[in-house]
Amino acid sequence: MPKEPKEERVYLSMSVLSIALILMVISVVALTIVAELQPSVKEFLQQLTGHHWITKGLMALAVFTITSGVGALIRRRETPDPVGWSWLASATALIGIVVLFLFFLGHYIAQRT
Amino acid sequence: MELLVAAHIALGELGILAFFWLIVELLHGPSDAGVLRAKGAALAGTMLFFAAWLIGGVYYVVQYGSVIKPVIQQGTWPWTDSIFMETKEHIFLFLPFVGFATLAQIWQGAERLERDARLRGALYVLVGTTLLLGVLMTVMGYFVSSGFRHGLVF
Repeated sequence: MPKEPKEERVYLSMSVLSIALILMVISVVALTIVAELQPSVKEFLQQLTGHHWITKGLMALAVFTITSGVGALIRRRETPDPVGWSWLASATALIGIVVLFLFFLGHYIAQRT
Repeated sequence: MELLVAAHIALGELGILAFFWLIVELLHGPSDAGVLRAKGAALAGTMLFFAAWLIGGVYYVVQYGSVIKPVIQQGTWPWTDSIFMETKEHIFLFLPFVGFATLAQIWQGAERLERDARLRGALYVLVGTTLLLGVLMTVMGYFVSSGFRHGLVF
């Protein structure tokens, strides 16, 4: 009697989670900067949910959830280098923090001068 | 509204505490009971961060923009809103997701947490990032509340 194929459980590997984190960070940073520089974009984000920050939060949730979900279906086992992937995700988050801080610092200085 | 901001701060600080507890469990070298505690700490911390996001979001949308922000902008420290609050409200969005990634890795890898040094290494990096983000939230929150006090006094 042929063996039934073993059902693979859904697994969120470190690489999938890291890619989801990286895309979420990039989308938040990029959308924030574009919205500050283009008032029409900020207005559009505001119209979608009533507040631009709510729209950005929901977008971050959607990017992370969809990327994780699709990634979990594609890759169902752990990556050989989870430490490297976690460093990549953390470095992206740290760069995102620095970029946003410097952007708002520059934006403030530009408005005052 | 004061309760909302107090709840936001309390939930965030408790979330940081839970992740600090988690890194202690990881450093201690998790046994069976330690793995269970690590899972509990990761779950509690992540849920607390999502709750802080929700409660803080209500406060930010309902009160901050219409009541707090104008006071800060008219005071002597308007940069605390223009730089620190603007940065804080956006990088806060990273926190629940880094927490969730940590939670997912711990729950899925609970059986090999004790012997898998690579898994623990990845978790150290994620928890460290979570704690750094938490500390930044606290420091930036201090600047924002200082800016508000300067707006009221001067």
